Amino acid sequence: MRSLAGSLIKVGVLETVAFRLKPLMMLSAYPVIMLANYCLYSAIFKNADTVAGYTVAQAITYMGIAWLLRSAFNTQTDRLIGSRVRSGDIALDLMRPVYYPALVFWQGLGRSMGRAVIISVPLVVFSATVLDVSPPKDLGNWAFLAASIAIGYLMTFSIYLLVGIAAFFIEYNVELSWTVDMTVRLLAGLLIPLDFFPEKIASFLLYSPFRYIYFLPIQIYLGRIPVGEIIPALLTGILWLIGMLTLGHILYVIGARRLTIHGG
Amino acid sequence: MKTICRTFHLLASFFAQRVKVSMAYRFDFFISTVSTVAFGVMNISLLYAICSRIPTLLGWSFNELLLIYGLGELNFGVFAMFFTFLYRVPSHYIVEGKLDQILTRPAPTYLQLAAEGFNFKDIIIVIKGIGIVIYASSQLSLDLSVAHLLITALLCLSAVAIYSSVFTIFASLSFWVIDRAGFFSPLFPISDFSRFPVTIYPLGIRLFLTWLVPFAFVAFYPATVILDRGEFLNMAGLAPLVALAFVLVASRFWKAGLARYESTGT
Repeated sequence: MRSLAGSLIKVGVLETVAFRLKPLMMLSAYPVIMLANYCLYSAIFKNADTVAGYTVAQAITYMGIAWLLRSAFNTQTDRLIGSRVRSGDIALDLMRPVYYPALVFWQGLGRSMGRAVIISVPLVVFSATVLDVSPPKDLGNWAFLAASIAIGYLMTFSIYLLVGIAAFFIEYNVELSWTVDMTVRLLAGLLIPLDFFPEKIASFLLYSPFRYIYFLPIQIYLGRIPVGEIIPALLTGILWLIGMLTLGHILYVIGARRLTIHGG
Repeated sequence: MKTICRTFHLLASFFAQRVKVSMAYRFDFFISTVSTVAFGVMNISLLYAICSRIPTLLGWSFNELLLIYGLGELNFGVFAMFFTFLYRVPSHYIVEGKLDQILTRPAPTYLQLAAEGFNFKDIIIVIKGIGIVIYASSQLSLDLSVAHLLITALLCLSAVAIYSSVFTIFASLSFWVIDRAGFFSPLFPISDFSRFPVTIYPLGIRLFLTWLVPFAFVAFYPATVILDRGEFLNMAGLAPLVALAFVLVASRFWKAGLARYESTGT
């Protein structure tokens, strides 16, 4: 089983690295987004020392880390499943003696690793030099930080899985994937830190499972969350994950059965 | 003259066909509406969150920012209705060689592609843009004259021309460097960030957005006309000229690229 996961990861890495232009083009979009956001935050903070409890350095670091995480997380597994469904190749995938969600997970992890090398590493250099993104506030929390990033990654995967499995039912899931992606950008705190919103809205947003993707890891990174609150937050995140993955599994089982009826 | 009439007639029926196709798939239409709304909610939330914390963004209020955004979406929507075939140039037409079929027909290539790719669905983006512009201008209680509206209409036309020429130039690059992915990906974030007043950006970026990839003319400058910000009038007035220059450059790129097209040999 371990070697299987290993080789699936390898396939994912190779897939990303093999096509040079595509990752290069993706790489070109991130610095544009980060630079424009940097200018936006500079403008927001021009006449104020702190906004929503953030200093300008914290806000820029928040933005930089959010897009760095995104550059590795964004494997588009949902679209991949959708295109397998539409081309009919999904039948081959389902015939394999491997649990399909696990298959796409390991391949996705491989793509993430490929993306981390090709896209994220140059972006780290860009963020640290051009954009003044600061290092983590307190390295003593590194274990919590790593755990929260892992939960964020798995949460992203579970959303991809749900949207991907939706293709079993609706076939064309590209627009759905796009809509969900927009929702995630907003509710996970990629677009703007969730606590920038007025308090009532923010406290509401902080209940959503999306916040574990970007908001929570970055709060830990910036040292903006008391240590005592980290463990309960991470545990709640794990509960959400179990719920989402269970839902994904159930829909997968139902969907795979339906798909057999359509096949042939 | 006769051939022009015939081409025009053919194109019209092609477009009509595309409208019927997009109306036939109601569910598709519904889903596009949902995703357009989601995108709007996301962008407006960003403006809302910023403006809930600071009184103005370097002198631009929430409703003014909203108006710039809405106008940008309106222009992007018109572009998206008529020119989204450009996204498919690298993968569908070049890599898969589907351009062969188009080239054998005796009508202008670019027009044929536009007709084949006419995207009626994206009228939703146009409607969204118009709605936001109307809402924002009513909130700002602007005093709009007919002259304002005519100038804005001219600038919107220029904006669509600028969008389509820039995307045409980037699509043409795929004739030289053949890859399914194409070169569009940096254009979308640039377009997104042209929805903010260019005055918030440092000089280098402002020059880039004005002269190199002139997306400052797709949302910001047209909006300054409606907002009656006289200090930008000179720049806004340049929009038709910039658009014309970019259309000429784009047609050069397109023709040169087309001349290099080698088909796939299948």
